Amino acid sequence: MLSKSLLENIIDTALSEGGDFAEIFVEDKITNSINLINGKIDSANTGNDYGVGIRVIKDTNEIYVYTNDDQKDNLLKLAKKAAGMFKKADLKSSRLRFADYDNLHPVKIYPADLNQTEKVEFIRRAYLTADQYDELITQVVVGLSDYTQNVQIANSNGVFVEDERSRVRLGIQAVASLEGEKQTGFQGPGAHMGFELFDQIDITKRAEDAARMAVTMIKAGHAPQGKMPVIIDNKFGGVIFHEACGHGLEATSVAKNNSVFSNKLKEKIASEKVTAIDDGTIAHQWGSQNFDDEGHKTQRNVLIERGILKNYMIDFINGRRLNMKSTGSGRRESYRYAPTSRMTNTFIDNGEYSREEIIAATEFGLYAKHMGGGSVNPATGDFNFNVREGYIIKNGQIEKPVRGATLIGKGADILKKIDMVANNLDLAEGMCGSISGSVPAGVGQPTLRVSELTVGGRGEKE
Amino acid sequence: MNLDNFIKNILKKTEDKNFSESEIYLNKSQNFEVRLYQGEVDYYEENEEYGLAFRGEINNKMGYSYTEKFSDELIDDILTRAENNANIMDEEEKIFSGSKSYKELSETKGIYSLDRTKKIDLLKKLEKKIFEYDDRVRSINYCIYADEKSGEEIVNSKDLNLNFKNDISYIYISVVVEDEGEVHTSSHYKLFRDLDEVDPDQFVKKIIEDAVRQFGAADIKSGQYPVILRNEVFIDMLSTFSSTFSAENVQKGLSLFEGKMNEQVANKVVNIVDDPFYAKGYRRTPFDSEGAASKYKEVIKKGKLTTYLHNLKTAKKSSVQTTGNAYRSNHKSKISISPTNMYLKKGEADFTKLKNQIEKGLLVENVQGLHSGANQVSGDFSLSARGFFIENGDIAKPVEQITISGNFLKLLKDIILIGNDFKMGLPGSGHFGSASILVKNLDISGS
Repeated sequence: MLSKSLLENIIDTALSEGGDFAEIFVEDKITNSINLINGKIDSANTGNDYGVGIRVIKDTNEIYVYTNDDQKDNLLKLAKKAAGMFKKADLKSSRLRFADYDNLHPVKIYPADLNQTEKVEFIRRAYLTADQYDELITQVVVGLSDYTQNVQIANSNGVFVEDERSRVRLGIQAVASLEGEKQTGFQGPGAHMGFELFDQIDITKRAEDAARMAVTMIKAGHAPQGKMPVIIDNKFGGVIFHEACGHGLEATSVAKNNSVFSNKLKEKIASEKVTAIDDGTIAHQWGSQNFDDEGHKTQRNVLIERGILKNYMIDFINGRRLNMKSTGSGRRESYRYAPTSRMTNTFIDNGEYSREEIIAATEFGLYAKHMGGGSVNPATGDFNFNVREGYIIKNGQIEKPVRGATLIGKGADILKKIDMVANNLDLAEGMCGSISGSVPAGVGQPTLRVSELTVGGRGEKE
Repeated sequence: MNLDNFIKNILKKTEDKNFSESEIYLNKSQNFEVRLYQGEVDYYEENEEYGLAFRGEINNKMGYSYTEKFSDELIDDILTRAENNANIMDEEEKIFSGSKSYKELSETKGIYSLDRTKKIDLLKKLEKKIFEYDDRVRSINYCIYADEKSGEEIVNSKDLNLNFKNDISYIYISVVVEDEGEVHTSSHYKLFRDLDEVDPDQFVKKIIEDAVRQFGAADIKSGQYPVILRNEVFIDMLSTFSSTFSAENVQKGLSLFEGKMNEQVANKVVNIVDDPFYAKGYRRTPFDSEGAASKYKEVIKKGKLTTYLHNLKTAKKSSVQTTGNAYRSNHKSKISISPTNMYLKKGEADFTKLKNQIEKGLLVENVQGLHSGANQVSGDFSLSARGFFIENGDIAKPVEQITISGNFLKLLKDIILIGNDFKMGLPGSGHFGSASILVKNLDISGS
């Protein structure tokens, strides 16, 4: 890591030609991953990511440079080069104030405290459980990844933050085969903590669930096609809000008028059953952090309250564009990326029903018990995502499993069509890709019903 | 940064450890990117970066580690991490002494060092022309120019010493058009190694026409329809499902093509090639990431599956020769398998001829959701799509908010005609190309 005086020196150099804001991001990260396939450890890799990113901004124009070479001369040379992109001198002298903080995510068992053989035990436990679950399971792939990322973030407004982030995640994929066809099931528990994660989650239960999903789907028929009510279950079901609306509420697209939600603050954009929150402060949650990657403390941001749009997720430069304050949402995958506004843990808040009540109230529809991923076009709000495990609901009861369903629609429409929300809010883990790279993002919701969505399957609608 | 000494010092220190053989893989890349917004450069990036990977053999097991810190005092960490990883491995892997010969391939001369203002001026010109072309253009959400240059170097204890560089430049623009509250977007990209290859008028026409033709789009009735997949759409699908050609996935029971060698897996008009020497490909290389010689091969010839893609490990298991498809996306990844420049060979049909085959059907211009709505293991896909309804060979109306569903194996068998509008996509782990194709039928979900 760099000394305070060198950081100040770099910031001053970066501002020596006319920029009005400069920032340094130093990252030192130890990563580790182990994969098992066919019951054998197939790969193991450990490494050290290290680099320094320097950003210089004038008004809303930004210069970003980075390097792996942290020698003083090289860093000052790079800062000078970045500074030179903006003309006219405007000399400042930076004094950094180190930010003290309470760590909301203390780690008990650091990834570095366990050796590789100990880590393999967790992987084998997941493998053995899933492999023995059913004779239709023909393959199990288990991956364990962990990292500890140390960052320094300093800028010309005096911000000086040092933060440490450890994350651990286990991925379990089970494959079931029958009559030449294959179907998969997946579970991917993770958290912003150390290996105490495995004292809190039940690996056996998760592995069984991945296998159960694969076996259920291999026996399932094709999902129907056409428009129908869709019940989306809690936890990872929250990916629907993440894709359909969350991306459109990021200042990255809002500030340049590229979102369907641009200029809609204080307007009713959703059914009054919908309250949506992005909260980067929840202890040990996958998408949480003490600070965002611009050195701003993360916050609990209410985005939509009873259907009314309350706020966007805002980073520094888009805050300038919007003339609004940062919401602690500036994130980046690594020093290779300039930060931009991103989600942390994004979820729809509890409603009043139970899951059973919602199912019972539905005459015909699709029940999406486990969601896969999805994507969105923020300008039009067109979204799509796939259902990993789906069921047909008939006369208020779960009838039979169906495979291959994709849900499509427009974000602004779906928000208005949420007509029942349960009271079983829970969160799950995902990776979110955007212009500042791939970052850990939590998603969540209670079970909820959308009165009408287009389901893309290969079967007939009955 | 001079890494030669660092590399020498690492290899020297392996003698004190238990490694019988060892290898350094060095990744060097440079990139330049500008994004334009309302006539101004609002993002500018220029970087040079290095990454170093070590792998070493202990009792026939390979240990991996990597670093982006290049200081001699960290060498012990690098080697200890690799040793710890070798000790938990179950699979065997070997360091390679090299192929007998390598294709002589000259490195491309791209325009990384060309005057930056020329590149920015071209982007400004495009932006200006876009706003002038049609007043329904509301905004440009991405207006990007980028140069990418990357080099690989492999040095090992079996006296292998190889290096090769590649470069490519591209422009990517995405526009938002609006008319009476109806909003559509369209994006377009062009890959090149010389600025003269970009025709600004043609670029602007393509992107705007594609955007404004969507006004009035609606869904269509669900059912099975014959479909034309536009070149860029099939490029994305080929890229998504290319993992099924990997021998590693076949051996692990994760490929659709398991047990289908020498079988008719596609219509006989289908020829899919993996060409590491293709001049316009970004994955041009005389050697793969293990140091084995690259090879040209027809993976599917007249619809018949003729080879899987191998690295040394999978080739040994199947008792065949490596096809030179060992791959590391960078210093952080282990050795896996990837196509190099893979493309569907173009046909002779022009676009009118493709359309004329359809009485009632669909032209798909764009699909979304391949990373989640396509399952590489089962081959099933269900993707959000937009395009046009075709009636009696003519484009009748724009279509959106539909899904197209099917299975990749069935799709390959249902390709009945291939167009002549060949292009290469944006490069990823492999670099893929295709022309537009006519598919007998796909499941469409609409209303």
